[in-house]
Amino acid sequence: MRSLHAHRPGPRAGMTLLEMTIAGALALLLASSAILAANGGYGAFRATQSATDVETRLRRTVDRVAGELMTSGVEELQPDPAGEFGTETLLFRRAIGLNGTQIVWGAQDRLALEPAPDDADDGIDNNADGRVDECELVWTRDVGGSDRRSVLCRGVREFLEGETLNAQDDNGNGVTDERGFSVQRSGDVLYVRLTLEEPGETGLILRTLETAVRLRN
Amino acid sequence: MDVRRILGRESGSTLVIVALLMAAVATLSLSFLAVLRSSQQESEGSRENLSALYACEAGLTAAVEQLTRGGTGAIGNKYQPQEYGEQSYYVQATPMSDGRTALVSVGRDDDARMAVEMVVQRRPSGFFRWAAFGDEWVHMDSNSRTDSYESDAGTYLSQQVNGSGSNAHANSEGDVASNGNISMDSNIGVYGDANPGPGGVVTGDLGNISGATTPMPNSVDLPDVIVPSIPNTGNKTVTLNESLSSGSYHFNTLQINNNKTLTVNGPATIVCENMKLKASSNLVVNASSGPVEFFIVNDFVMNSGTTISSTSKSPLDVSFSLLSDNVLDPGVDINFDEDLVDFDSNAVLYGTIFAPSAEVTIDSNFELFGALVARRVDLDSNCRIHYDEVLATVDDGGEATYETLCWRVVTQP
Repeated sequence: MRSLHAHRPGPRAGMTLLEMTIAGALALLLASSAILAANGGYGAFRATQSATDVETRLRRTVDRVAGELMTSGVEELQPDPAGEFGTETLLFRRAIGLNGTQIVWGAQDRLALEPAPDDADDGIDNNADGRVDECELVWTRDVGGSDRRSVLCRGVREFLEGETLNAQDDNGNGVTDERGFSVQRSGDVLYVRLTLEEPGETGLILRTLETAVRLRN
Repeated sequence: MDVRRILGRESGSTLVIVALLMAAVATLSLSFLAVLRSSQQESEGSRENLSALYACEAGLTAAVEQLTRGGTGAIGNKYQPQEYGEQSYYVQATPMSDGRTALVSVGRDDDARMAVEMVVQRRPSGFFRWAAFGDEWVHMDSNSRTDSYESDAGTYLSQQVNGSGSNAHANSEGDVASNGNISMDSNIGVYGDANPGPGGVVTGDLGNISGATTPMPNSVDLPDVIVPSIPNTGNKTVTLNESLSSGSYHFNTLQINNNKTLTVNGPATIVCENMKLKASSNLVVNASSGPVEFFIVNDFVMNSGTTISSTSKSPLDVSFSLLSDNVLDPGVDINFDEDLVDFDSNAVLYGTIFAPSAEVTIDSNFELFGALVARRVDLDSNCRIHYDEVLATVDDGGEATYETLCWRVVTQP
């Protein structure tokens, strides 16, 4: 009588191909799912990160501009940004002390919206980044003196969100044809508006922030 | 049985893949959280900075409020700041010259701190804040002048050190103002501001106004003249030099004859239905014990060459409140009896004039040391008004107010 034990196959005999097929299929399925999930998650992560970055830069810039303008005075703003057009280029001085009853003003600074160096103001997306005629906000300290320039913010939209060049207040904020950076005065209150535009994962990221600051001097 | 064993052994590779997947997802999640946290921290920092600035502003507001109530403006200190919700602040106050105070407010919110300096100056609270004020209008004829001096710093002449000839003047606080318009003839001289009312204008020779010509932000309400109730003792005519002791008087007509002098000892309150100083007469106030207030109901006449002053020549010693009305208001005045209001040429008055119902014409070469407030003001040629700056500091019972001279962010003390 032959022993059953004697007919038992070897430990992996006959099963290797099936094992490999099942294991391979499972691995492929799981790996694909993992890659797909990771890709989706990473895309969402990058999109959120880009949007957050734009919002952070936007808030930081507007806060900085408001903080600087706060210590200025109505008579130290050139041009006077009162009226329906406001301005995207502003010369201003900040109070640095008092002499008798007269305020001592510091050097004249300038905030100006300028075309980005690689995208001229010609209605064409010269640098092929998906934005047309994007600008940058330039802060020049001691105008007429040391003229120290620094870019306060890049990726500023040519016109504020919702606005186009048509002599009308398209976005209904009280300013006509305002640029992507705009300062408008009403009494002793300055309204600072900024729109940033950045290429993102799913298209252009567009963010706008507005703040109001009372001139203290 | 064998298949289960085989599958049991292969489950290890699935676990690895699942673990790798979970690690990837965890890494992404952590990165995402890190980015969000970073953004949140920046946002929080920005909010706290703003909150610290608000705390500074709250401190400054509280300090000014304290100043108006007679305090020093200092609130709390570095070690015992004033709590303000979740923020805190303290204010250091440093008195400066000319009624100015430097307030440095340090605000704090969590880790954010900010310091702001604001220099404030007490606004003149006295009612007489101008050399000449006209409720409806002010007109200055050619060569009329306004300037200012300080009666407690010596005589006007001792302070008249600026300019020369007809442009000689003392200080430049001789403001003129109106709730309406201001008009100037040629060669006038205003050593001070000329402020029309809101919406009003200054016209004419603006080149000789040393200060601003911007309209006032708000109109000035002139109070009514409240005449004290004192029994009328009839007429009094001064035919010989004489004196009145301090007290309260009510005359029907008080007349000082030519070249005569009436000395009134203060404190005194004198109500006159009519008052007339005939040519070259004098009214002298001895205010060593107190000032003298005159209330005129109808006519007020200062003939040429007359003088009204106190012995110390301080404009604070003599005040005239005129109920006199010499302006016909059609539809309002019925059976209008025009009162005489005359400030004739070559007369001199040290004091204040308040005539809210009258058109006051200051004749040529009249010299007023003090201030004039009237319904209408017409300054004839060559007349002079020397505003006494001390009048602005007189406490008229109103609440003190402060104006901001300078506001700036400073490093923390």
